[in-house]
Amino acid sequence: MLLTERLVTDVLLAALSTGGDFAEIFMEDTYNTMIRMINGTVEEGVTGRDYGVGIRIFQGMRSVYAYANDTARENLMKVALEAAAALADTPKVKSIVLARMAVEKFNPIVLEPRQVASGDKVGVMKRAHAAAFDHHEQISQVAINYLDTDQSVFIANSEGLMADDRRVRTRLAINAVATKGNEKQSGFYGPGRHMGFELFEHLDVEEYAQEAARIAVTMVNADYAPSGKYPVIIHNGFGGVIFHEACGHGLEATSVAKGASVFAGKLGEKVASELVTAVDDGTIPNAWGSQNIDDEGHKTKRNVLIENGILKGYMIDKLNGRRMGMEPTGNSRRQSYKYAPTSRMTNTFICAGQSSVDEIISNTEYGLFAKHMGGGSVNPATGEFNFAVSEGYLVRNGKIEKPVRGATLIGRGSEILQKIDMVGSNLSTGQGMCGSISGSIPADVGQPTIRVTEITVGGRKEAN
Amino acid sequence: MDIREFKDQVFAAGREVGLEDMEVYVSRSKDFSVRIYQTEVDDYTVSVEQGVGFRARFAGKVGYAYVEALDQDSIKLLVEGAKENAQIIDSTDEIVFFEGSPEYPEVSAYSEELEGVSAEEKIEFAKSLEAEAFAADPRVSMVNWSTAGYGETEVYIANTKGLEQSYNRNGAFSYVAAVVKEGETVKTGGRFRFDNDWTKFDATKQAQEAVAEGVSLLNASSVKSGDYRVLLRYDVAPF
Repeated sequence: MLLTERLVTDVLLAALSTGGDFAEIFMEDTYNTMIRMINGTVEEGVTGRDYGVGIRIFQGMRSVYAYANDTARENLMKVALEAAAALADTPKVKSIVLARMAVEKFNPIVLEPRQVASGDKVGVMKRAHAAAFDHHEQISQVAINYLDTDQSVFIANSEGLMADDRRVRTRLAINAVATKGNEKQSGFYGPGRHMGFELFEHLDVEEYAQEAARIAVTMVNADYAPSGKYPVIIHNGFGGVIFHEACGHGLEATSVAKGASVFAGKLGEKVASELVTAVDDGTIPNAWGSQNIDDEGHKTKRNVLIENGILKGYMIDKLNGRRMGMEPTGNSRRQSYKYAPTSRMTNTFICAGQSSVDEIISNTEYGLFAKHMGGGSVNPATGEFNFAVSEGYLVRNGKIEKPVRGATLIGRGSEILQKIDMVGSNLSTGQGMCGSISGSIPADVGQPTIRVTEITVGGRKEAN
Repeated sequence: MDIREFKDQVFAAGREVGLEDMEVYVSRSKDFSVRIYQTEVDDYTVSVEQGVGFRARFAGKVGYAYVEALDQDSIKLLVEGAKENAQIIDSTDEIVFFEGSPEYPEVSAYSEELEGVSAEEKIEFAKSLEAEAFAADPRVSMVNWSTAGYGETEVYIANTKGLEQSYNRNGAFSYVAAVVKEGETVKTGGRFRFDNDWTKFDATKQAQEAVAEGVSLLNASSVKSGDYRVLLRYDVAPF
C-alpha cells in the first residue's frame, strides 16, 4: 500500500477543511481464503481481496465517516471533501507533521497462508474430517471450514501518527453431527490463532475433531435437562462467552459513554463477587484477538476491567474517550475499512482462581455442569442473555450423574457476576467472532471453570 | 479502470491460463446514513464501494474469487484464485453459465424522487424519531438508536456465454430503539423501516411503535417451563 506522506497530509487537511479538529485515514489490503468441506467433499473454495480506505473526522463529539475502494489521489481527495461537507465551520487545523510510529511486532508469522498450496489446506481438513467421522458410528455428518486472512493496514491521523501493521489469522472450524433415530445433536470446535499456517504444527487437529464428535455423540444419547433455578458450573474456555456477551459489551465505551450500560458510572464500585478478576488483553502473542496496534494506531494493552469484584476500567476508543474524559486503551477495532472503529474486546477473560474442577463439582449438591457453551443472544442495554448449553451434565451429590441436553442459560450479566462463588485454576480460552457496530471481529473469550449459585435453566423436564 | 475494460482484461487473462466459461458480477453502491443522539448528529457515514465476483470453469469444475480493487493484482488474483479453487473442489454439482434471455421485463426498483431527498431531510427525520420516542411515553429513559439512511446499487453481470445485463435500485431506511425504565426494570423496543418511497416514512408512528414494544415488556413475569402452544407474531421470525 503506497500513499505518499504528501498525499496523506493533503487528504487529512481536506478532511479538516470544514472545521473538524481530528482526521484519520485507515487503508487496508486484505487477502482471504475460505474452503468448505462437507462429509469429506470440498464443496466450495473462495479466494478474495478486500481493499479500500476509510476517512474519519471528529468535530468535538461529532463523528463523520466515509469510505471507498478507489485510492487514487483524486478520489481520496473527493471522499475527504464529501465527508467534510457534513460539517460547516472554518478550518482549525492548518498543518500536519507526520512521524512514522515504530510498531513492535509480537505476533510472529512463520508460514504465510498465501504461500501455502490450497491442497495442503485441504489436507488438514481431510485429517479433521476423518478423525471426526471415524470417531463413532452415530456421526452422520462432519462439516469443516478452513479460513485464513492476511490484512495489511496503514493508519495516519492529523495528530501526526503514521503506522503500518499486518494481521494474519488462520482458523479451522469443525462441526460434527450425531444421529440417533430422528434426533440430531452437534458438537463444535473452532480453534484459531493470530498466526499463519504454522497453526497446524501447534494444533492437534485430530484431537479437536474427535472432541467435536464426542460432544455430538454424548448429547444425542443424553436425557433432557431439567428446568428451574439452580447452581450452574460453567466450564473453562468457550464458557467465557457469557462473560463476553453479557458483561464485556457493557464495559465497552461504546455503551458506557452514553450511559447505556449497567456498568456506567460505577468505577471503583463492587460489581462482582470478590472472586472475580477480569481482564482484556490484546498483547498475548499470537492469540486470536491480539493485535500489535489497534485500528486507531494505539498500542494494544492488558487492561484490568474488574479486580477482586471492583470495577477498575473500561475499554475505550478515541471518540468515546473524548465523551468520557478518559484515554484510549488500545481497544479500538473494526471489521474493515467499511466500518468506523469503536471500543471492542480483544482477548477477554476471567482470571484463574484457586479451586480445582474436582473441588467445584464435589462441593455442588445439585446443579448443571455446562461443559461446552453454544450460541446465544444478549440485549446489550440490559445485559439479559440467553445461551444454549451444547454439552451439559447433571451434578448430584457432588458427582457428575449423567449427560443432559437441551439446556438454556437465562439471566442478566450483572447479576451473574455477583453470584459467582467458586473460581477454578484452569483458565483457558476459546475463539469466536464478535459482532457489534464496527462489524465482526476475531476475539478470544475465556475463563476458568466457575460456579454460579443460581441461574435460570431452560429445559424440557422438571428439576428434582 | 472502467468495469467493461476490467472485465475484458479478466476474460483475456483467464483464457491464457485455460479457464473455460467465465462470468463477472459487479456491484457498485453509494450509501449514506446518519445517527442522532441527544438531538445532535452522533454519526454520519457516506460511502462509495464496488465489488467484483468472478467464477470460472476449469477442467469441468467451477472456482470462485472476488476483489474490491480494479487493478492488475486483482486480475491475477481472480484468475489464479478461481482456477486453484476449481482444482480443489470435489462437488459434482452441475453449474450453468446462463447465456441470457431474449428479453427482460422492466422492473421499477429505482426512485429518482428518493435520490432527490437531501441529507438534511434525512437528518431532520432521524432527529424527529428521537424526539417522538421521548414524547411517546414518560418511561423512555434513553433513545439509543435513531438513524436514517439511503443506499443505491448498480449491478452488472457479464459472461463468456454472451450475457451482459445491468440494473440499479435504491432504498431508504430508518431505525429507532428506545430504552424504557420503570422502577428497576429496564427494557428496550425498536422499529425498523425500509422503503423506496420517502412519503411512507412516518417518524411519529415508527417511534410510538418502538416505545410501545419496550413498554409492553415491562413487568413481565417468568413463564413456567413446559410444552405450550406458541403464537409467533408476524415479525418475530422474518427469515
